Amino acid sequence: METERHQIVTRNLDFFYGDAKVLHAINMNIEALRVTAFIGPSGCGKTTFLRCLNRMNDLIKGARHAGDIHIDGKNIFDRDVDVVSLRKRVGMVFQKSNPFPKSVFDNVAYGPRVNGVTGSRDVERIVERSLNQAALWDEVKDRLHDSALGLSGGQQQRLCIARTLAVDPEIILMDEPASALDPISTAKIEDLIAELKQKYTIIIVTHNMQQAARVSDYTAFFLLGELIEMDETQKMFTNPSKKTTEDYITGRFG
Amino acid sequence: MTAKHYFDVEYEHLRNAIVTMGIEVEQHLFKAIDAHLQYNEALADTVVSYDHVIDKMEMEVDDLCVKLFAKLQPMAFDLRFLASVIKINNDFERIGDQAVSIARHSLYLIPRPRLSVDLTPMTMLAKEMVHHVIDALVNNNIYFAQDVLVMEENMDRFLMEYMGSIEAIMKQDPKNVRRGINLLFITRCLERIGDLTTNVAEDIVFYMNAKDIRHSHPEGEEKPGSAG
Ligand SMILES: Nc1ncnc2c1ncn2[C@@H]1O[C@H](COP(=O)(O)OP(=O)(O)OP(=O)(O)O)[C@@H](O)[C@H]1O
Ligand SMILES: [Mg+2]
Repeated sequence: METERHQIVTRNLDFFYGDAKVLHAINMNIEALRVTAFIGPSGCGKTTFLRCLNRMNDLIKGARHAGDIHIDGKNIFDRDVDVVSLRKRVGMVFQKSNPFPKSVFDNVAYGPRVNGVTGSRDVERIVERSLNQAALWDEVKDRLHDSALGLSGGQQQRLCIARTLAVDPEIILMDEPASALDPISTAKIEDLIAELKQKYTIIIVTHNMQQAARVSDYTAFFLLGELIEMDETQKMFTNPSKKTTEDYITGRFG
Repeated sequence: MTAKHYFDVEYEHLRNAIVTMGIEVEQHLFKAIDAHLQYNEALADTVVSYDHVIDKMEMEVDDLCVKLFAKLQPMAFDLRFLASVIKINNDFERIGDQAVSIARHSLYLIPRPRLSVDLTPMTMLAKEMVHHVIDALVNNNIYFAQDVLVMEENMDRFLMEYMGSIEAIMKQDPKNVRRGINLLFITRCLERIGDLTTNVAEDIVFYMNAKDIRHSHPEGEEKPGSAG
């Protein structure tokens, strides 16, 4: 049942790439200020579903949807919805971070500048705050004007998180944010998620069951474009209701 | 489950190890009980000297569990099973300790004249409970496990009854007191075995359907789950 706490609500969401239907009537309620993990085998539609939530899929030719997505009570497919401001509210961090070939500072400042923050003091303040929130400030404060491409993979990933945070989103979508990182950088990202959920609603796609178990409050299991089961993470990993979920998380699938 | 995976072999190995441990403890207990009932000193001695074998098995099963936790990082049924095996292993070891206590108290009694107290019915119940719980473990059978929970109530009743009759015998003649106390200790061991067996049964029900039935009434309306 949908309640007050549900910030994102999808109703019978179908999604098609051309003729191929890849999401089948997804009904999901996502709570505000919680971490929700999406798990499921490759190709089951996690990324597609995630990208629906900030209408990133609008850009793909031949792609279309049916059904509704409500965020904060408003259907994001309504004609009067401004997609740019939707994407500002619903930020996204990708699997492989891709900083611009610019300085660390400019990478983070980019969003706020595009969004009309002009005063250099204001920009500086936002950059410092965002880098701090992304737990990167101490590591880069002396090299803010060096190229972002000189950062390590783990630092680049946190830089991309800082970039997302700089535009003040409400919701952060993370698509396998730690899949290319070593255990130390992974732990930093996970600590960060725990920190960020005090202020943001977070959705994370991960293929790492232990990671889903560690960081999330709720877990949703997708299979072949369907939402098979969604429950409290603790329940999903100790005693899931569906046999397919059990088989998947214990690695006995297929 | 369609295919057999490499890690299923590892869980199978652990399952064999805990079942072997259970069977070993069962033999150990049966010997202790027989030694007592038959006043067989040599048999009681073997029980006392065999204890270290069980302790060693317990450590091996424990090591295996820790290794599998680290290696397989289990989830769902596997997680519940592994966590339960650690506890079951410990309970089996303690049943083994109770067997040794029974043998020790019997070693005091054996050279002395028998008092007219026959513990046979209580020992039979203890044997049946232990056997039943091992059956439940081997077959992943929660019905057997639940039977054990019901049997446990009879154990408590036996304890009260024997306490009464042993006390009466001790009152008859102060010379009976030492032997009476040893008998009381044995009934207490049997009752502990009932408790430990019940723990094992509860753990089996837990890993089979994840319901924590500890501290709830055994005849409650538990419905077997579908997991596993
Ligand atoms: N741009 C596209 N055009 C056509 N089909 C696509 C496109 N993107 C994805 N698909 C198809 O849609 C289905 C879902 O893909 P999606 O990327 O959402 O899966 P996923 O769960 O994120 O997988 P992974 O875990 O590998 O990232 C797949 O069958 C995929 O081939
Ligand atoms: Mg994906």
